Amino acid sequence: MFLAVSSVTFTPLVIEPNKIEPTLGGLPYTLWTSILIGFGLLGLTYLGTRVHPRERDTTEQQQ
Amino acid sequence: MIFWLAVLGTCYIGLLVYATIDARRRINTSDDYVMAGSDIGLFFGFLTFAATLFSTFTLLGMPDFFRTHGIGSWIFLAVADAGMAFVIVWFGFHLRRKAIAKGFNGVAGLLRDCYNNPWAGYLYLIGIFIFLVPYVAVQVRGIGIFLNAVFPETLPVAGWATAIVIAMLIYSELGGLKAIIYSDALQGTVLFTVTAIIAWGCVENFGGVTAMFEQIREKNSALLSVPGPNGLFTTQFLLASFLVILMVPITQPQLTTRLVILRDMDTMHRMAVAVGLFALLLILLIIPIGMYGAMHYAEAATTDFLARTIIHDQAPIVAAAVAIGLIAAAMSTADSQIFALGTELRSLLRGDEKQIMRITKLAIVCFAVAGLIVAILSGNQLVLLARVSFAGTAMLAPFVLAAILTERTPGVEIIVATAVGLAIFLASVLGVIPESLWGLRIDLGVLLSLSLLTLVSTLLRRQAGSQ
Repeated sequence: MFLAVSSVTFTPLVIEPNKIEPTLGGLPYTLWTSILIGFGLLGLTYLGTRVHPRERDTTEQQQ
Repeated sequence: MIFWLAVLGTCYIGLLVYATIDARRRINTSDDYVMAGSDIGLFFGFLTFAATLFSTFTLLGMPDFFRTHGIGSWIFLAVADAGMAFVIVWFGFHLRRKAIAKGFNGVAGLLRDCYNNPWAGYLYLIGIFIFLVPYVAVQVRGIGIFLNAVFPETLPVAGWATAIVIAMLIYSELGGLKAIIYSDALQGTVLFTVTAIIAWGCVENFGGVTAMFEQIREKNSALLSVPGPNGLFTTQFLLASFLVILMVPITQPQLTTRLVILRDMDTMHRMAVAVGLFALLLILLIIPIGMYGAMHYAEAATTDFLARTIIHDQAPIVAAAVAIGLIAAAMSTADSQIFALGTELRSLLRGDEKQIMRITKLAIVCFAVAGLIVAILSGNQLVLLARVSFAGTAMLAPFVLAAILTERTPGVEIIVATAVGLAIFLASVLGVIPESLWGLRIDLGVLLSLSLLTLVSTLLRRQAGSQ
């Protein structure tokens, strides 16, 4: 998921040269799409920390 | 402004002195001095990581980047930082597991033990020395230039740089990593607060976010898309920068060490998410500052734009807080790097503990002096110099990952290939060979080649071992 979302950033879907429209709340296209990607990646990171409790426990036991 | 500068400056110095004394009181062993007792909680862990990551160029280089190259800077900086939060979680898990198994005094020592080869440790130390010293210089020079522009009657750039290095050395040498962490927490808070205040003022000046982008569109529409007015943000540049920034927690010892000294895995996870959020919010706040500059000071020199935007156009108390915040930012990033260089050297030394500590403290002074010399001699392209530093240390990533992720001893060929890769990258930075070959950037090419070679070497050795 992380790889897929970050890869989209480097496609014309986000960084099409000289593309400003459509805007969202006044924000130019590349900016609002990449803001969504930035927060999306952070959301995935948060989910990642929640769905691997066993890995966490294993390490803490070792400590 | 001078009145507020005196008030806030006194508060800052007072807090720094208190933090240093408090940290010094808590030092009982050399591990307390170098690793802050390896028991850092979420609050200090998050602020020290964020403050070490976000340095002078947060408030100096980044607004100028938005002003000059436009909104593509968001991808260059923020998307990469959000991705880095994910890397912290993934890499931190494996690093902490390895550190428990092998013991941890520093990354160089850990690599030496994982590769079972002293040259692995030496190569890492040489690599980070070559590329971190310029980054220390970026901090020190950046703040020196800025303070000289704002207070031209006081000290020259070299004078400000020297004063900052001396102050930094005093509290680092006295209070160790814990003093640095306290100063980081102070800096992170000040930096975020002043950036938010300035950003708010810039948006108000435009009459709102929509009005801001409408006015910029009329002034210079190329700022609102990629590749930007100067054509900097090509797909290759953005991709190479993304990969390089992802590698920062893996290859920069001041950050790697902070992953190990956190209290437990759960603290590290929460710290990673908090740092990612901090980065996104901070860089969002930087956008209006850059746009304000593009609107009002498009033709001004960098220092002139910054001095006007974040000092002269602000209320005296905000301007004073900015000046203090910038000094704090420069010190907190640079001292972490210099201290990390000392820690890495220590991790390779064996023998009498007191003698090792003496050598470590002396080495920290030598690294600081090296950073100061480069700061005085280097040019003014702060962000690009920082990027070279990130890119240079990123070349070490496959070499570090092979040691941390594999159970078997990685091959000596990875050490040799990494040394060759570093030499090629250095040659491209110095202009000995071109920056691109056959349309591919050298930094991206070297990083991909080293990754591939490391992967092949690891797989072949695993296969050979299982037969």
